[in-house]
Amino acid sequence: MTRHQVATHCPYCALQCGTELSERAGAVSVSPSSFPVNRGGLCRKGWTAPEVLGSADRLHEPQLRTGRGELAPVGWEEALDRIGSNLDEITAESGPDAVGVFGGGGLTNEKAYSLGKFARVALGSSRIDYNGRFCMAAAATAGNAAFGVDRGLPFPVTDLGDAEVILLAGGNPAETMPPLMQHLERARLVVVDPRRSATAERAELHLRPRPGTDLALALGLLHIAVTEGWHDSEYTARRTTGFERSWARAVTWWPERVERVTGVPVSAQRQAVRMLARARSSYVLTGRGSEQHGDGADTVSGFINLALVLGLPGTRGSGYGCLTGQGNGQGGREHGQKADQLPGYRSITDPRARAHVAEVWGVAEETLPGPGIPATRLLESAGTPGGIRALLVFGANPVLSAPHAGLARAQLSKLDLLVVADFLPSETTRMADVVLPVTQWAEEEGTMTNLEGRVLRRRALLPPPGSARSDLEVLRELASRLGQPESRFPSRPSTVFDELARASAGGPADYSGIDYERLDSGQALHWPCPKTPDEQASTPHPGTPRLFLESFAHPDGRARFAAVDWHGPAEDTNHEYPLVATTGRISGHYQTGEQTRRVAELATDEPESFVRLHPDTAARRGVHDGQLARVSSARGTTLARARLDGSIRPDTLFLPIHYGGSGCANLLTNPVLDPRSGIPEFKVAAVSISVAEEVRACHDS
Amino acid sequence: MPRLVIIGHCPAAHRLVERLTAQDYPGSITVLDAAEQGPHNPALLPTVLAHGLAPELAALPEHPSPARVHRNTRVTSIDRTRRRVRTEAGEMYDYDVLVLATGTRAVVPDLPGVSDQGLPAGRTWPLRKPDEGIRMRGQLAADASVTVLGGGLDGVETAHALATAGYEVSLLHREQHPLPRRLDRAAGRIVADTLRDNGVNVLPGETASEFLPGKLVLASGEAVSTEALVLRTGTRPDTAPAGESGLEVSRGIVVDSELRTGDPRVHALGGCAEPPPGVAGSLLEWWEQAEALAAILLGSGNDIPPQPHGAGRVLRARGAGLELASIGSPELLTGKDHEVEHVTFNDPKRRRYARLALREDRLVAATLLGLPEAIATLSQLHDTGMPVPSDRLATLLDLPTGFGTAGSVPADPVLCHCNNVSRSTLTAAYRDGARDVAALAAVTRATTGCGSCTGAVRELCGSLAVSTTERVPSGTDSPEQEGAE
Repeated sequence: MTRHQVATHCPYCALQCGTELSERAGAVSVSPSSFPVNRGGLCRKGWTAPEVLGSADRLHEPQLRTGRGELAPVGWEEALDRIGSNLDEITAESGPDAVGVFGGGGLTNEKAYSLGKFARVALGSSRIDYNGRFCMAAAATAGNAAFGVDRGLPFPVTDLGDAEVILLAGGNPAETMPPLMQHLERARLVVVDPRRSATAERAELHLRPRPGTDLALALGLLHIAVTEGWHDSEYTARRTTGFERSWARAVTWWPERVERVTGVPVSAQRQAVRMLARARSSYVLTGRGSEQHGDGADTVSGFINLALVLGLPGTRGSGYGCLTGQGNGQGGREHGQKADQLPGYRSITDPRARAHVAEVWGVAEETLPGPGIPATRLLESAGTPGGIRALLVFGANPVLSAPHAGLARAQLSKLDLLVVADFLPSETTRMADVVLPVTQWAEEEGTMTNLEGRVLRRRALLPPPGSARSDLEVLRELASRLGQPESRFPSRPSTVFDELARASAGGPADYSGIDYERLDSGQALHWPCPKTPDEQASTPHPGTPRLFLESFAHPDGRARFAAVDWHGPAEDTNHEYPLVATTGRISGHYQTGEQTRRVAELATDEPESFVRLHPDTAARRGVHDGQLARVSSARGTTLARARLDGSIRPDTLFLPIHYGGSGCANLLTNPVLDPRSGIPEFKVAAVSISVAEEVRACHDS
Repeated sequence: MPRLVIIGHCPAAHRLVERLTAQDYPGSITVLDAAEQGPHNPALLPTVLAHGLAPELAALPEHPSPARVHRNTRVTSIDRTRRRVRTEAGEMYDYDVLVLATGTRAVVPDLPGVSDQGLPAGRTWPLRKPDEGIRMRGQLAADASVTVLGGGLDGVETAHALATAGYEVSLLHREQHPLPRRLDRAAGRIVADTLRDNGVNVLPGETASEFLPGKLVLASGEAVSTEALVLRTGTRPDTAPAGESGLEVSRGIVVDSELRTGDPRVHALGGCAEPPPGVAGSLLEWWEQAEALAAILLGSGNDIPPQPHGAGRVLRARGAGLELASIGSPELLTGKDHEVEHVTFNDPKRRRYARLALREDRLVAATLLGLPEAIATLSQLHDTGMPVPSDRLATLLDLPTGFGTAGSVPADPVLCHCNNVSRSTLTAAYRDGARDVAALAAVTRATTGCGSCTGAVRELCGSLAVSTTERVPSGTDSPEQEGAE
């Protein structure tokens, strides 16, 4: 009996745990490898990932919506021809910006690159963005502003293992990336989270701010660092600019004022700063809890300011980083599927970047469109005057993942054409006019870039099922139907990677010195990794595991403080909606749950949405533990089973984001966007809660 | 284009100008300030006294253009008919809208050696602002003896901060305990003891009679050896030159709820103003006045933003280790109102005290000492009007609220949460031959997630090894364990 085995990586989060994947007689099994980020660890999502490969409802054939309104299987030619002719019509009538593209942070680098190129070259549309806009866009914006480049962790994950103190602002890796925790074992943790998460339970110090006040807390910590004399003024003078402007805001955030706004005791604020400042090695890390706010970029800037005043970034053994979430959340934001970007993490408004990329693509620079609009606005524009009429979705499920999901669904239903490329049916494929079955992780070759900026090889173990094709093939076929030469859209991943590398040359995220051969030989390559001149070809660039040790990426080599201030979340609680709902992930599921909810073990343990709330908050509304509750905001209502939690703030409810239908948490969330980064305010919605099952409530009493 | 003239540059005026410039006020903004320097953040005074701070770091930021600020410019008269103010140097400024923001003056007790014709005498420091604190620190030896006069919150904060800085500090106050108007006796004693713990020589029930070089003579005839005297004996609104211009002045410049004086073109805010009763004078409240006045001047007065965070009265001491908050009216804490539920917690040995007044579970007043988490939680509950959790003691001591099944141990606990592996699963795997952590991990996946259960799994291995070798049950809990499987 033959047995196949490949070394690859887990399909889920940005940690990209190394795995050995093997197949025997059609059965696929996985085991963790000794790859540095997981060192033999794997969470239950990773262990059970092979089950998704054999899902009973896996998409095998293209589907087309019939005249009767049902999706029916069709051949590829018919599906692609239909898309091609519809896109031609829409573009001819309404211009190229009437066609939108929506990508995903789970797509390989090659797919993300080709998708961006397809939108700009084959469609000529500026209307491309991706679900990473929902994820860590705020950290990307703040990181770029502060350091001149955005790499989630500008140091290898393993560096955290030697840290003395780590402040984790709005992250819960003990549930969302369990194998990361082995690197945090030694450090004394300060965790900022409104609820006592699994990670907060491990913390020496848990700061519990009211949702939406994170920036006030960051300003307060900076204030204490300066007034108590922890300011590393030698470092800030030598390596930074703009301290005075940021201090001009922080001067008004004395600890007792911060306490009043955030609910974090003054003594805990001081303790946090002292722990960070006294340690020889300390890190400040942010997660979605800091980022998903209407002032998300400012909030991250606030925490970066704190790190800068303590002299952490670019100092060996210390630093600032963002814990990127999605599998290719890092690579996905570098290769041009973002509304404002070209490959190599270049700006689409930079004339030199445009000229370079246009040359690689073999098109005239002036044919490249300008910047588009952020994901939420892109979806909202569907069917509106001047908005998109057609949308192509690759590797995303925006019907569940967009804020104010009810509105997103309503808008998408107004489209003339919705095309969704995915490997499983989702809420979004169910709305589609055309569904295209594509390959998933164990069926394709490619690269991913993990949260530490290391480029990794994803390898195929199995052939694609049915007639499923890789996204790269789909894009080539579509491009050719739109009049592009086939050679412009190669479908071989290594060929695409080589082009991506050339396009990135000289950009902030420079991959030009990386190729499949180097990766396959096991080299640990973190970008930037520029190509060395031909005469030095024998000594290729070793990659950059640690950025900023010499200088930051701004032209003057300095990091920049940001002048930020707190003004509060867009929505305050009121008489009708007196509580704050905040959303997040749990250990058993990933993103909108389309993959993990199909895994029997995970679905059995966490089958339905729940809401964590304080026993008092529940009792006042007659809600009992285990009872189905109705949670409502000004935008919609979701149903979730009550879980009482004596350690959560009484004013706060927590809901997981992994469920669909009436359990979708985003039916509640506020679509207000951060003006700097376009990230939505997923973490603060004013809500009320009541019993959904009234009959049972009577029996209970 | 309206011409806005602001007399004085108190922190409230600073915030007003900030708000107006940020929202593109359509007129000109001119600030006429008698002081040499721009305003400092007064909230930083205790920090400055305790830690020292470069003066530029205590300053409030400069205003961007188009606001124009004239320093060393004292206004001597206001001509409300011609809408014109005149400065000491004889310059004239015409206005369409005038805002008075001259702040406060320190009250200097009329005592020999303390007051010199109403002004502070030598070695006497009426501290109100960080720059004054910085100057005083610059003139005192590191271990100088300092006596603070005044037992209000300002005096308590100042004494505590100076003691933290290493000075030899005495606090002199008239009543039997500090903060007599806000605290009952039990609480007041704890505050005094907290100060003594921090090295402050607290002298209750005393008044000063004369300040001589090196010592302060008390009314009782005793003397306190002291090199400097710090006055925290209160402030009074600085109402000049409003009084001379015929505007109504009581204790401060009288204004209505929209901060308007009797003249509709003239407003006053901050420490110089006297708004209707009930509005108190903390910095946060002055800032709220500034926000409200900015909204009025910008013509969006109907839409004054709600200001939850300074709403209601919360007095919170500043300074590391000084965990003291007084919320709402102390009257409500006396126990005379039967509609009000009271909660009392008194732990003088550990300097902890709480007295709460609740009406329908809402916090209406509180005194909190030495309970940092409770101060944070309850001042927010007071601000938002949310009910206080039913487990009052858990709230005071920052413990999770217990409920229902809390505390009961499940029969078959999950040891590895990341992979949802229970003790019974691990035990079964052990019996099937997986005899160490690595082998158990390979079979059950336990420990492969975050790894935090590794110790527990190892312990289980150990206890199973013991119970396997001791095949004969010896009356311990191992038979029950086996039975449970």
